[in-house]
Amino acid sequence: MSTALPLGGAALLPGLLLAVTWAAVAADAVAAGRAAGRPVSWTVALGLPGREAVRLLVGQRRRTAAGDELLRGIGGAALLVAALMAAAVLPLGLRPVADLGPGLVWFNAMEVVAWAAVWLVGWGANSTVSLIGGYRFVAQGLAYELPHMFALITAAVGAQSLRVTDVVAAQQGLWFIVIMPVAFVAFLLSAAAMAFWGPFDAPVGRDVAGGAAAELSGVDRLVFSTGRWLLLVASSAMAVPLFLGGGHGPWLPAWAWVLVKTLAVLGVLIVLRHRVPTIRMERWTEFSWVVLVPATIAQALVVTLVVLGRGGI
Amino acid sequence: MDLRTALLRAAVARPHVLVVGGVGTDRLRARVEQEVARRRWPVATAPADTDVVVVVGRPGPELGAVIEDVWVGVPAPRARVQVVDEHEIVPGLDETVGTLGDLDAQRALAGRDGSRPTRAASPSVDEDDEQHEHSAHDDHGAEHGTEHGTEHHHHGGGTELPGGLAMADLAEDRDGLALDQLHVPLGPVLPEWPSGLVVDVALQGDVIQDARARFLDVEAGEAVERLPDAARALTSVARVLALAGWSGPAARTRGLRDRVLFGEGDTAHVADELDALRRRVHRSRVLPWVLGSRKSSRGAVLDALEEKFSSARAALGGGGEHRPTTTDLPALDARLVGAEFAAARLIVAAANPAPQPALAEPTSTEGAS
Amino acid sequence: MITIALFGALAVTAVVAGALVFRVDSMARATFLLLLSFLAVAGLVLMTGLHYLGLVIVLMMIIEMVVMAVFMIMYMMNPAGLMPMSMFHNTRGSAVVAATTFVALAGGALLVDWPVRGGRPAPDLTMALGESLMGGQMLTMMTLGVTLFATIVGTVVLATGRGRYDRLGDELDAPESDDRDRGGVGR
Repeated sequence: MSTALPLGGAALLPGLLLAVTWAAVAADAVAAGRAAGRPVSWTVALGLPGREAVRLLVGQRRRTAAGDELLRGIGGAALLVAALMAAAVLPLGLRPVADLGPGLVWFNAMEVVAWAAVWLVGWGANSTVSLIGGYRFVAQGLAYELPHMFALITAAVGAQSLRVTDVVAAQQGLWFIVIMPVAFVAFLLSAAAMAFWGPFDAPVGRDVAGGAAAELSGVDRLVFSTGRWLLLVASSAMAVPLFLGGGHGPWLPAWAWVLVKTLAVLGVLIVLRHRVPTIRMERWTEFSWVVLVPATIAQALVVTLVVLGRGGI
Repeated sequence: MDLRTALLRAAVARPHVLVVGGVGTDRLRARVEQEVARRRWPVATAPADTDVVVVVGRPGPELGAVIEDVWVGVPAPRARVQVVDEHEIVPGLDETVGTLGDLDAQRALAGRDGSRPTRAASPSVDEDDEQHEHSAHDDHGAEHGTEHGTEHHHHGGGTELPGGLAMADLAEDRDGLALDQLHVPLGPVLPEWPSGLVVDVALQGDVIQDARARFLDVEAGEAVERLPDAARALTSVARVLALAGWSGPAARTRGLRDRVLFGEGDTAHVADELDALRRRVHRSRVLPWVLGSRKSSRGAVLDALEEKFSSARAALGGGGEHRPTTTDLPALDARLVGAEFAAARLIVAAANPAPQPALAEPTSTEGAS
Repeated sequence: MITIALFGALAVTAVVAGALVFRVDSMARATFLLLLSFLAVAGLVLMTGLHYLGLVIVLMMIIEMVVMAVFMIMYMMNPAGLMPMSMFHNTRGSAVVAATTFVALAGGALLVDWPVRGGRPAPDLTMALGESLMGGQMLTMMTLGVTLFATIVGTVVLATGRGRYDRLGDELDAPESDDRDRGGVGR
């Protein structure tokens, strides 16, 4: 049984996440350029995250009349902090920064902070479009959360443990994506939805002028969008230990496999974003409750039967 | 000092641009958008996300007031440029880069109206304006007669409204519950929004309960320059696609429009690309799902999209057999009532209303003024 | 020492945040202060070593409070607290109830002899909890679960303005409902 990384890992984690985020932002810019028929070269794209960050750092912070600055600030910071904390149980290789017993519940609890965070940012600005964006995220949360939880539960049942390292260890032979494909798809979709990414970006959509983020400028916007990106990276990285065998794989060391697989998942989500129009919440909610929830429950049942058949528990 | 200047220059090398134009500036506006896209500068979503405000044409008094409010909400470093002629676009945008990177100029700008009070202890006109702009990025200062406008401009006289803001009203929602209702103007500074259009809406949650559309600075019956049919239809298609969250095809549509407007001679090629784009929209299974099935009320947007494609195609082919349908403002109002915000945005983009030429239906502007 | 300090901080946060719920005017602040109070309690549960339960409290309370914020703001006038208002009703009665409860509980804590721990905690508390819930307490949990579920379904059925017979006809044979805003499955 693997244990937690030494303390240095905790210091390393934000840096690693930011590096992957940097690459993801650049890849997104390239994909956007390609989709729009105005190609952006990789050299330009790789400079882009830095450029935007400096732009926002230099930018003036703006406040709105009678806004709730305190709640807005808490919301933005919470998004960033929650993404980092959620990543604490991610095995970088085979060992996470914190190898918690109920690691899956930890991840879920941290990721749910986004509900409060986005709503608070939308509420705090005292602006109509911003508030609509915040409420959209709550509606979206109600849609994605249950399939997401069932997907997590299915992986936990497969490994008979809530500990993320146990889930990875259980996939030494067979990756969970093979025996629980429905749960994997549900997880991937909810990963995009919780980071209001890709087809689920209605909370920050163009029709509401940036939605929850509409009134953010300067550092506030930097914190919010960094938090969103980190959440996307953390949640897609979580797909790796849960369904894609974690650090297991031939030839390469475990950390390299984790990195490669994480980038692959991120790549899928970035392609998805540029291929599919935004799915509005009322559509997604019904689809999620009528199709995804029963499908993920059935998936959990099937996996449970398989585990019982193998003589587990 | 050098470091700060260098940092500032690096920060503003790729500014986010907000293009604001009144009614009848669509052609020049398209030119500006084309140049902005050519420079790979992003288009800002809201004033808070803006570095450069490009004012297209000569705004009238109402739009002018709106632009002042938007400008108050743009965080420093910022720059503003007015473009009234195609030849001014390139030097104008170049100049903004200089202004943005000039520390002294930014200080001067920030000194004038950059100090922004947190919470309105004492209501002031500035804050009142600011709030309006924040609440929907748009106009107000110049509204007369609407309930909203008067409320907001008579604050401070004995009312205890914090920051001079009006509180929400109560009204029955569609299930008969008495819930908060807001009166906000939508437009004219919103992404993918028709130039110079303002819709004063009563919002409950994100459901529109009452809508009243009007154009800023347009006299009833006044003739206004409009884009050729093909470009107009493509603009509308691009807006619908962008609002549907399909930014890639939206940008391609916009590129096609620019070539229809400004690229001489290669219209045959444009028609081919238009067909390809149309096929792609047809092939998408998610788009109809998002926009609504044909039978339901929202299928209207899908039908309108198809109609715009046909209209653009007919105009490109030179055949005059397809007469584009135009939506007048009262019809738009009727369709907006009961729609959710997202649906309403799509309806407005698909309808793409324009002030009618003097001879056609004089009721269209009257009903909304 | 650190444990005691942490316990004190969490306990004080829980109580103070809970009290502040009634001091602020803004519904949003009240809701999230209540959440803060709950999160502090979750921290206390985590300190007892019940990691699973503590995390579940965090998870459920965040979702619950966000949903509650939606309703608080929907039904309260002046939800942002921009106008001064009071959330108190029947202050005297509630003061009496609160004081009595506090005295009873505090008295109990001080006067009754605390039990001595017998046995030791299971090596894996999460597993022990699961075995208890799915073993000895199975009947309780099943009853609870079904009751809660029935309550939810019953509430929704009673509250809904338009049921499936309104939407799809008495024979449920309409090909499409006549809803104004349609969901994503096409019924």
